Amino acid sequence: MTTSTTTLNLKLKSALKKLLAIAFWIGIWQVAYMIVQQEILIVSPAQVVMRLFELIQEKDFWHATLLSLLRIMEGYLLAVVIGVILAILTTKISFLYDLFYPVLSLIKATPVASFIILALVWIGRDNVPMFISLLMVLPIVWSNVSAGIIGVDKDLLEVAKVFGFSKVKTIVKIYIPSILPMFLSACTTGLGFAWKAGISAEVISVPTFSIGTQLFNAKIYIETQDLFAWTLVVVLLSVIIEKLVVTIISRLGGRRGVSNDKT
Amino acid sequence: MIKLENLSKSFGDRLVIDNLNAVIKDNQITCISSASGAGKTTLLRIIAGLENQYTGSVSGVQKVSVTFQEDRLFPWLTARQNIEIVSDSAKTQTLLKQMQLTNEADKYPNELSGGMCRRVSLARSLAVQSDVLILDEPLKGLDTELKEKMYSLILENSKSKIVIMTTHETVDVARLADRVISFSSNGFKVQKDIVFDVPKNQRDEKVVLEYIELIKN
Repeated sequence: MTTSTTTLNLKLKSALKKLLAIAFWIGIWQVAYMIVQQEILIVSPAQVVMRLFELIQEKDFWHATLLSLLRIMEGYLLAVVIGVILAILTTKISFLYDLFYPVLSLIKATPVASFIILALVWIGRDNVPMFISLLMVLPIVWSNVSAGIIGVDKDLLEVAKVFGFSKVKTIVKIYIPSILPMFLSACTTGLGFAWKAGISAEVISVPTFSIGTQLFNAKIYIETQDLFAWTLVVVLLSVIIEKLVVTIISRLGGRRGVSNDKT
Repeated sequence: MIKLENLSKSFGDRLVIDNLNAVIKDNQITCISSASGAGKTTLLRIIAGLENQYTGSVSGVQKVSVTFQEDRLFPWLTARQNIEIVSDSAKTQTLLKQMQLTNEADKYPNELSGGMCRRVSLARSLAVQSDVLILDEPLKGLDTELKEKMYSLILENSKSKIVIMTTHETVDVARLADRVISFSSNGFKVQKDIVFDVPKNQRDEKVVLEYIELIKN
């Protein structure tokens, strides 16, 4: 058997295992539905899929989904950019580190609901999800990139000094490759946080068109089928976006090599 | 010519180099010898410009190239890229061939053996046009057959340079050095200063054995 065939078989096996696990839990869900038999508490998987099928034919579904996606991704991307800039500044200027450390630690420790309510008062409902996503992702990117900058191998920096690397060459050839794994891990972790926090913010702030608003309405009108269908949308979008980001990231970070010394 | 004048260096309370005065001549391979931890690497780091906190002066050092005691390869670059980062592709290709690394050129350091990494590290320092070449245990971990090839490669690439080398292998010293300076463990004082008069390309086994004896005594 060739290596590629073996790899393919392993991949198929792993995919099959995952599918079986999903099928098992859907089965449990179906059994729970059959036992409870109260559609106000739980609906069947088939009903959810059918409701989702109905929803995707409505213009408002796409409007709400797209706007939620845009708001959350806007906050996420802003957090990535600001987090990197802050990390560079706070690792280079100790005064700035002392200044920002308590704030970023406070953000990490404060419940997201407190920020959502405050943001609702400060900036208006349509901007809350973006702001909350930004706030949740910023400390993750900042702390990971800071750790990456601080952890750059001093021996390699000495190599750069001896061989007369320019500042730009040192950044491109040493700093960026060293920090990249930490940065990429912050990006993937942050994505999940942004998505969950962003949707929570939408549920509380209820912007004009959003997934969170639909979840809120489903709760108010006790539309359990809608609640499940919209939750499924959130889960599916989260999986798709995460896969997309991981693919982009693994292409970006498609480098190899871990250990430096062998002797 | 490198001139070390009244050079002193301490780490905390420990005086590693105590008022060292020495001259390292042009077009020679000077081997620095001492017990482990006596201060060889510290001295090399001062000459390479990697230590700022010392007293005294070092003059005559222009452009330095170094084979560090550790390989210090960039783990995210291939063997070829690790050399090319300080040189051009033609020189890199030549060195890869001379180092017998052509088949490993596109492998990453974690895919190479210890000896291969050492050769990449050595190749990187030889790829640079420099006045001073510092070789800190350049042949560490290489077998005898490979060492033979490395001897001629080092000799070929060290012409018209000041080469300062450290090694624990007396045979390497006897094959490569023009001069050996032995230092004490206490304050890094010059204990022995031996000049080898037989040209390096004319040293047969007998001469090498004689030199080894000379170094050991």
